[in-house]
Amino acid sequence: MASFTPLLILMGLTLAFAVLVTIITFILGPKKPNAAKLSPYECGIEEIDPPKQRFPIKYLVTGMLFIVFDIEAASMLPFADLMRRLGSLGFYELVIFIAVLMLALVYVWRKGAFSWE
Amino acid sequence: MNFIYTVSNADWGHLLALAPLVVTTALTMLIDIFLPAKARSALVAVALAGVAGSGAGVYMLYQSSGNVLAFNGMITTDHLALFGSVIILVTTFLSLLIAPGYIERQGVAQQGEYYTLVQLAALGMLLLTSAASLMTIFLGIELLSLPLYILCAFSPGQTKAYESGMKYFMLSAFASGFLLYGMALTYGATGTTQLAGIQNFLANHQFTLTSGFGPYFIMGMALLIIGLSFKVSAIPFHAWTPDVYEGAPTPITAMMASGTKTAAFVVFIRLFTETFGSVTAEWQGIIWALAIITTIGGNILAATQTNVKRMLAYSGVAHAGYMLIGVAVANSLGTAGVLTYLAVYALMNTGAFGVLSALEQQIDTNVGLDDLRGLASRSPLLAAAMAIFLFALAGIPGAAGFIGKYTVFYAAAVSGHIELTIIGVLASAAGFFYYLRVIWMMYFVPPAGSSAESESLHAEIISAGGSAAAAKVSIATAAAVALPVGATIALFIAAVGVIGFGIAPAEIIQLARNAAGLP
Repeated sequence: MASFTPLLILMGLTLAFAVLVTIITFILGPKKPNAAKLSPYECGIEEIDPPKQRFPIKYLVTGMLFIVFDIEAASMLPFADLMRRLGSLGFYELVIFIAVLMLALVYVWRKGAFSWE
Repeated sequence: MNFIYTVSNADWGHLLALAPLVVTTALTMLIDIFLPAKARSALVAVALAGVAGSGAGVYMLYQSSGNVLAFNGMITTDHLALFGSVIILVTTFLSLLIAPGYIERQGVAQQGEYYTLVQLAALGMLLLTSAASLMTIFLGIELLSLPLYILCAFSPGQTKAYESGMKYFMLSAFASGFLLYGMALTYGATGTTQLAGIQNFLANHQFTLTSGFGPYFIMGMALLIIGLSFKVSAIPFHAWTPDVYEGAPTPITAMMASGTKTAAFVVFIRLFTETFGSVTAEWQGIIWALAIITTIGGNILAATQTNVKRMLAYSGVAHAGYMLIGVAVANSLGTAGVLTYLAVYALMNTGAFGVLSALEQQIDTNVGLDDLRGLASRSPLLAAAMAIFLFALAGIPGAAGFIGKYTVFYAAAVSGHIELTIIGVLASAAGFFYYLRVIWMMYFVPPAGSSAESESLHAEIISAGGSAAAAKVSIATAAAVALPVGATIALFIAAVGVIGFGIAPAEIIQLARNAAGLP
């Protein structure tokens, strides 16, 4: 436990310094607010539309589909390395796994996830 | 570390209870996407076949003898697992029978998704009962929770259902975090995730609170208790229960209330009574306190409800308290009590929610106490069924609920926890009030809209500027309740089971004792 004591002191000092600096800036710093300063920073150009509005989430479906292929690839790569050691059991397990993923793929396809409009 | 992963052919046999449901889940999805929308109501048959197939699998596993551990100690098919599996399968079966009426009424278009998710949730519960490793337990909890989050919100356009799904998701995810952290600490303390290994470790190492593995282990155990208490909705981790139960579709509430509870209690027993059996002194007090708070608090809260579904939700909290008494006594007798209780609770609770589901076909909103006025004269059979289930839930001798309470309280009394018996008996006596109030409403209060009194009430509503819809409701409740075929069968099965086990409990008690490892 004693070996951690310097570390704890360091953490305490760091925290105290951060808090102190924040407080000093808050007290000493000049405050001249205007509208441009108070608005949220967004690449320097005035916003065209209010950001709170509905937007299509088609990319979300694409992202979810990506997971299907991602997991498939992620499980196939280690299998390629361990193929001889896992033997036929590993092979059949992978086939079943891919069959389940295929089911997911067929499902989203029939549900119309691939048609953009 | 070098893992040697071997799977023998015998291991696959242990999946007999899970495999049929996995196949029918995939089938449900396939049929759903290739069949025209009109034929989709047939999907319930596929789901029912899957549950029946899994039931056959459980029976075959029950007949077979030999090694109960499979997949390198990840899964077990001992009698405890099989007993829990049967309860879950029966609950799922009844819930599926009730479902078509609900789906038709709500106009749920995504029937395929509904049945797929129900089967997935059932699979998670089954996996949880057969889990023999912390990893499998977590996998099971997630597999059961994820479909239920969606199913809780499965009423198109109903904000209450969305609220229910969202609340369940937020709180349950939080509780899963507790559980996972508890598992991590337990693993850190004992060096293995396999329950048999943890049990072995605890038997060979002296537990001390302040040194060695003690601090990590005690923290892990505390977090595990919190995570599991959330799932069984023990007070003070019950706050989600009434809101989620109220908003969720009633067939799903029925399945959640008994299925999740069964799975979580089997894990409770497996983890605490069995695995942590040698350090009983360290956790018994906490469960003891939880049992007392939950038993008393659940009954008090249930008595103040006017919405029948919320009342049943709080009564579920109280029943979790009675079952926790069986866990708190920390021996095989208590385990047998909890298992008996779970079995009868599944029947009577699913039955009561089934009646509510049938009633909701008349009243679009949730069933309030007033909506049950004079149900006996409108739908005598439905009222009789409800009365049977409520008598059973109250624990009146002759109905199955009494058997559950008897076995649990008996276990507490002979194990030197007479105080738990006394509190349990007093609390269930107090519980009579809110169960019998519903029965009194059904049988002894005149129905709204049929007598002269309510005729004038009807006129009063309209003259007082009340909407025509409100008047319509009071007229609608005066008509007999039409029961779909599936719901009728489900209620019949549940009612026969409740009375049958109430009159001849020897078989179920014996099976529960076997599952707990008693002669």
